[in-house]
Amino acid sequence: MSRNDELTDIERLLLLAVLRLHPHGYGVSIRDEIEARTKRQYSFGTIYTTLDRLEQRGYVKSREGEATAARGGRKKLHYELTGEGNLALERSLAALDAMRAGIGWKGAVA
Amino acid sequence: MRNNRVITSKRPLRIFVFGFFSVLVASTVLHESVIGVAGLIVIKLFGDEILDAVTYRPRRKILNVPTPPIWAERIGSLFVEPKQRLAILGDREERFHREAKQFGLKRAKWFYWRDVLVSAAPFIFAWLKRAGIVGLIWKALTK
Repeated sequence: MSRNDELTDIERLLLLAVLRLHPHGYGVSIRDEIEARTKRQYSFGTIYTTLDRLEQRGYVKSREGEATAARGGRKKLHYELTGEGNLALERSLAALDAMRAGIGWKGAVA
Repeated sequence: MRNNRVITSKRPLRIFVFGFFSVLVASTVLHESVIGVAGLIVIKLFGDEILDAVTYRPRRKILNVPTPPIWAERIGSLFVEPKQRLAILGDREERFHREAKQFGLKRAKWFYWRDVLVSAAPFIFAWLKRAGIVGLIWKALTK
């Protein structure tokens, strides 16, 4: 596995959020999902530049969605996980699980 | 001998007329092409922004709904990937309306500005990467 196939923390979180919200994940819902589950706040800048990078690597694909009045009539950009993205995410999580297994440690050190 | 002299004296005039019209046609074609290409570049780069400025923003004023700070919107859409520009503006506005209901208009505007400022670094960095030289350096470093 080359270095380019590895996923960073934010990339993993975004792929998981996109997977959870499939097939209707878009900027606001992805940000809310990450915020609700991890209590971490990411700006739209971080989210969209990372999604763009993932799209260039073929891990997600985007499509234009509906426009609503609350958005000032602008269309949403929905993101979906591709087969390649699914594989990369599984590899990355498996590596984490493998490192975590057998050390008898369940949570963060306070 | 005399006739020959007359013919040769008209030659420079013909050359001048032909040259003049050639240059005129060429410069017109070039001028139109430059304007055409410049127009295409402007539409390609700022088409969504222009569309946004002439359609969505005036519509909000007519509907009399709370609007995000206009300068934050303008600055926030700089350096953004053209494909994502309208989606990001829409996402920010959606969140802005939610926060305005939840925390009030003043704090919602502050949150909007904060997101624009915090987002600036990743967008500028991604823009520089797209621009080329930095992209090449980045690729060399992450090989």
